[in-house]
Amino acid sequence: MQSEQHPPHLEVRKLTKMFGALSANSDVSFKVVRGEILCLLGENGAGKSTLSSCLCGFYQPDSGQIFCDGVPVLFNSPRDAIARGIGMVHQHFVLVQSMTVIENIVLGTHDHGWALGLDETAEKIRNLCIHYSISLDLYAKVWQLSVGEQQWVEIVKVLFFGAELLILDEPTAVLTPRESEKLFAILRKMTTDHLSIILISHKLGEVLQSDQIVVLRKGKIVGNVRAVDVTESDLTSMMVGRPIMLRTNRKDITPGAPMLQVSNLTVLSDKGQSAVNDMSFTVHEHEILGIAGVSGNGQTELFEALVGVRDSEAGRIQLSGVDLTHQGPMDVIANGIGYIPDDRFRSGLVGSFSVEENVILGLQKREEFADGPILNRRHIRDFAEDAIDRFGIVARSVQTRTDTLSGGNAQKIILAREFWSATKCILANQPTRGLDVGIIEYVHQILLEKRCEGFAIVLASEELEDILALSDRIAVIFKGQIMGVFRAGETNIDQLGLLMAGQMVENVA
Amino acid sequence: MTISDYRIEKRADVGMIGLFAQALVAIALAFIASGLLLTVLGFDSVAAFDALRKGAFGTWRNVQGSLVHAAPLAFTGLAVAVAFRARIWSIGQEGQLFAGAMLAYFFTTFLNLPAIITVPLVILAGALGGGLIGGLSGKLKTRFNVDVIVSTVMLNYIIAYLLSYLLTSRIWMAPDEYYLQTDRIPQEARLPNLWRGADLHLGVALAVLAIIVLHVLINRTTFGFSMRAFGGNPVAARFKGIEPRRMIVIVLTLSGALAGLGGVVQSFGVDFRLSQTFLYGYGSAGLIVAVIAGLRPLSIGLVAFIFGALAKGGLFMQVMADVSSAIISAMQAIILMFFLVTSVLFQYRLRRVDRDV
Amino acid sequence: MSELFTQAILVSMFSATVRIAAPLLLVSIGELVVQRAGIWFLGVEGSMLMAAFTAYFASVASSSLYIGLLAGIVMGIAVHLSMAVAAVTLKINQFIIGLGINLLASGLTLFLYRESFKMFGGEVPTIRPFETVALPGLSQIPILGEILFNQHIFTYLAFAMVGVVWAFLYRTRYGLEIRALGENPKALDTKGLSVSGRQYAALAFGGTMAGLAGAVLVLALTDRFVPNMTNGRGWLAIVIIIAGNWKPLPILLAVLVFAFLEAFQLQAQGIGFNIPYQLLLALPYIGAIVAMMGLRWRSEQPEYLGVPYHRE
Repeated sequence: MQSEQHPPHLEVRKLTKMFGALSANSDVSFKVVRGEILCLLGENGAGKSTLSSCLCGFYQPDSGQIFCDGVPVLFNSPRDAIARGIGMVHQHFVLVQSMTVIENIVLGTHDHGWALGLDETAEKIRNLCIHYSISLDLYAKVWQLSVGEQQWVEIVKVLFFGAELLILDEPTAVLTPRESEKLFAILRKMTTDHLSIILISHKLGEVLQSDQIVVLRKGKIVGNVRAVDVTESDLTSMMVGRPIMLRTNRKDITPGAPMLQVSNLTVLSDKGQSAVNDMSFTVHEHEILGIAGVSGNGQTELFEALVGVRDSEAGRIQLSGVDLTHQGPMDVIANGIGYIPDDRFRSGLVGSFSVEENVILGLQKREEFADGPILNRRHIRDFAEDAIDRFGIVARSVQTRTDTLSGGNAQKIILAREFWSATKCILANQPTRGLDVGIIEYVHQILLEKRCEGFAIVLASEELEDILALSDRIAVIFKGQIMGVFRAGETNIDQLGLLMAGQMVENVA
Repeated sequence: MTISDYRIEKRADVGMIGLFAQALVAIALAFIASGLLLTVLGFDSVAAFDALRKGAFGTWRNVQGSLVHAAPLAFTGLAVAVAFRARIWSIGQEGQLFAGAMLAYFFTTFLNLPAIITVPLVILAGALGGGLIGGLSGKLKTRFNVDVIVSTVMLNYIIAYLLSYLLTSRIWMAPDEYYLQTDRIPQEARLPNLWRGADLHLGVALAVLAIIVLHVLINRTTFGFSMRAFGGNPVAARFKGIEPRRMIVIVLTLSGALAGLGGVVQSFGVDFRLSQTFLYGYGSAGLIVAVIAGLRPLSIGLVAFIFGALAKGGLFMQVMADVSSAIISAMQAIILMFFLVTSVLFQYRLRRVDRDV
Repeated sequence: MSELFTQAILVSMFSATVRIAAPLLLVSIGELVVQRAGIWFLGVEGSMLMAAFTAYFASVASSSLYIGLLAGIVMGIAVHLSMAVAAVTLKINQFIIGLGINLLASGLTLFLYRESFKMFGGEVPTIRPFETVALPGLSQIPILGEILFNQHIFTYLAFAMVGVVWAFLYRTRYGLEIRALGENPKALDTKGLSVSGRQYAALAFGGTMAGLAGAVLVLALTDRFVPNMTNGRGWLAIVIIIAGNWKPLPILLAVLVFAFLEAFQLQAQGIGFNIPYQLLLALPYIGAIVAMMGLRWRSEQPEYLGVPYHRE
């Protein structure tokens, strides 16, 4: 057999990893041939990240074996994996923001003993960059770089450590379509240099650009195919276990009167630079305005200004004629605006609170939940139990601590709360980030229901498919400005992708 | 065939009973450790601890004494709990305690009113003095971004020097007084005993009242809800309309007022005078009480009583076994350390896992 | 007041400033490395106090200043390493464990002091403290020589440590790693470098410095142990680090300012300033609050200061 002369670059045999009683990976086996791109595909929670953490020595598997070039290896720490030439690019970058690019790259090496010796090392790094056509300012601080550039730093960091097998965890999540293309060009170049790549992704389009695809579901391998042999829908049904159509049945409704009006809004970021720049838009009753853009282009600041936790520098915010400019969150909530944040455990929920406490968070002074200064525990409990029923929240009781719940159930608590208190407008910032397909469908459906009821909805998402499926109109945001607003059906992914990268396009509606 | 395996797992929540067991284990370990220390130093530690027990619980009078010692600890413990529940790290209880007692004493130096008016005034002044200093730390944080830990520690020292000045300059000290202490507080300003012949004074009743009020405030009111939300996640709380600046100032003022009341309870109920050293250590002991009680008001009552008993018994032990009562404050800290370590151990449990072979 | 007299007072005041600065500088520089490694250790006060008591007791018992010095350093390291076990290994709340160490130190030293008091027959033995070392040549320089170059050996060491720590943090790979620990420990962990090992090492260094500072307090600046003699110096060190924005040279500057306030207090009574001495004693603490009010920068505060590292 061929594999006996050339053992695979990496082979995993019957790997199992448990967290407590939960198995994150069970009996996983696959091979990576030198010079090829293998893609690990699966939903959130399918065990992709755990598997990759086992491969780079970050976690130790409970059973099973890993072979490198046919030799059995045991990784007790990332150091052992690095010594074997395995390098990991984490989904959430592990860079030191306050340090320079070169400091981040050399961190942890001792090629000059105690001495820092940055200038001597710089030459070697520059050569790497030239070879892969990556342009990097080695002496810039990391926080000054765009997320795309930080991705290059991570890759150079791994190459500088001498990696021959690179594991990239969701590398395109933060990239514009154009940057993603460039990434794949670099990865292809690497494979011609006999490096191997393990790519973790849930984006079907890019998965098909790899050579081999391993599909994970609930910690087990459910498919191992060559990319040329399959289609997107084959992969989806493997991944989810049933055929699924993310197309939603959106009824045609004529939008009503203007509801949320934002005019000439300017908002500063934490660093004092303008993050939202002279932005104007209007959302009507019965309308979903989609905001498309790579994150970090002012979405967070825009939403924070709209919900009243970040004061605006200039401009006006009005809700059906009521001026909400410079109003705090209390007034914004009282006027009927609901907010679904992207980082639910940071800005939406109190982790140490029970379900019943979180489901009334911010509403505790309403007469439904309090008699004067005293909380009405009876009413709160009834409300929470009702919310658990209506939204299908899986929790042992209303007194379960929220930080023990899954992301999907946590999100449902926010939905229950915000849809109860909101009467006019819903602001949704990446409402489905990190959720399973089933819950994504649910969130989409409930947003569309609210649209029918007459709500004005602002929906920001990095997933263009979601935006296209749900929105009546789509605004593309880039560097704090709206690059163009389109009616749904009059635009496509390619056009939006160009605008997201800052390219001006004709025929703006 | 089935074999059993044991696996160490993290628990989600330790729970009330777990916390109680943990506190007991910590106290037991602290006794063992300090017993060893005493033995090494040549004391008969069994006799010493027996004296401690008798001093604390031997007679109804001694139990009353333990309760009297517990009262200021309950107040400083509550002061710590209020701040820490909101995750505001104030360690200014010592200074606020002095400030409360000092402001109250200041009023007695010129007020000549009957007890029925003076006593409530003195109590209010205590809360006001502590509350002002607490609120100052709050303002320093929200207005100038001065770290609360730093400002509260610095204010502790500043207030101690202020009292020292008021004494040595003889503004509050009789010219012929040798020790650094004020004149005795006039009878009409002292906290009255609860009944004729009792050692328990009004301050003990106030402490019980404060424990109940704080329990309701933290757990049953909208304000307590907001405060706990702020402590749990200030970012989310802000998104839901809880204004952080207001919360910080209110919480620190309330916390300071409680500590100030502790100062009044001790100096107007027991010492009847102010000195540089009489109040020293109640702030830090309160911190230990609050942490061991899991920042829960009702548990603080219980832990404060145990610590009060230690203090009362310690004095008896000093007389009977010639062990310096300073061992008590060391023991309190040792209890805290053991409690912190056992809190890690209690997070885990052994679970039996049955496997088929 | 004659000019010569004024000059003598100024020289002695500045000389005292430099002398007083030594322990404060040692403990601050040690705490700087600890905080740069991401550990928010508030127990330096206690560590110093335990070291001071140990140094005193050991030198009285052994009649050797050097054994006392060594014992003080060992105690400083031991206390700091107990913090390492609690904070790094057991991941207990760093704020509370630091406070606990302070309380334990003040209670235990007071108790042991009273007991040893009995042991020494009711009398407080004094020690003959370390003498100052005049640097040949340099100490002959008028005025400056008296202020700077006729000091304890520990004073020279303390000032030298500022440079050493600066060079370590900014000019070596290991220093880079320590700085990265406070900013993002995962950046080290993902490269297979031990986070806890480095944090233990940083605390061991901090303990050496705090132990030395405590020993210097007893063995060089006074001749006996007094309960709670550190008197807030450990806390001042923490303020100094914030005021110095976690950088060695600004920290040196902040130390000198606080040391000058204390030296001024010592001299003011002697020259008949009619200010209550308590006001002067309180000046460093008031100064600390005022200094922090003026601070607008927090740029160098380590991002992960006080956050226990979990691999997840």
